[in-house]
Amino acid sequence: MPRPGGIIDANRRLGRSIVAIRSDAAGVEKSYLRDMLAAGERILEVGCGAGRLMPHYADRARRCVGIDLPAALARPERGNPPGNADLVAGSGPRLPFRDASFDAVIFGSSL
Amino acid sequence: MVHALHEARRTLQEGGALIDLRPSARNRRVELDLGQARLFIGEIDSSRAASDYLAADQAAQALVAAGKLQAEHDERFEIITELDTVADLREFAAGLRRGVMPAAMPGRIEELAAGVDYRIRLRREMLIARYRWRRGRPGDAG
Repeated sequence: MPRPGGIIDANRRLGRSIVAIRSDAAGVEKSYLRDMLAAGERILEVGCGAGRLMPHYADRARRCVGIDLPAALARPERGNPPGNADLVAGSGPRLPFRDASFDAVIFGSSL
Repeated sequence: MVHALHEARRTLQEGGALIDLRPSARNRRVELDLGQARLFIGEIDSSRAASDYLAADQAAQALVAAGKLQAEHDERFEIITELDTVADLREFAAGLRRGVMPAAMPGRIEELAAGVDYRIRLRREMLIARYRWRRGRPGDAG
């Protein structure tokens, strides 16, 4: 018989229907990702999808931009992006940004 | 992939960081947690994604070898997902895009967990790497 338990329910936050799944993915990824970034940076996330990673680091960034294909940006589980973030439709091989406009680029499972 | 890396380099200011966060090429490991004991049940096959991960590794390493990218940090960590029932495991596996659960796995868990408290644990290895863009050499447009 299943045992009750409760570590972080990241799946519920992501709007998934399966609430019996508990995962520490969000907390662990957040910890590692934040260690990689300096405060006050301009950050580009390539392949941001529904914006799952963005809340992990947006509060430390001066500005965040997420880019992905239109279909990925339109996923129903996407919430509102953080206040200092913009989402842009496009793809990695042709980024619609000027040279040297970011301090860090994140590939979250998109490289 | 290589094009995306070059584009990322173009948009970075000199000395900027490129961060690669993704699952490693290893399969998810499935365990049965019985409270007092934890049994290894098997693996969810991720080989369909392995070629993509290998290509990503090779693209980054090619730029490192060319002196355009400096590897600063490379670390692996685990994400644990817990499931309460075999039905949850089936639903989880059905939602995987490129992972394949062995057909016999649910039955094996039901057999081992019959009449006892249990939880199913999925262990997925992730990697995070940080690279620093080096100043381009004279005449280097890439």
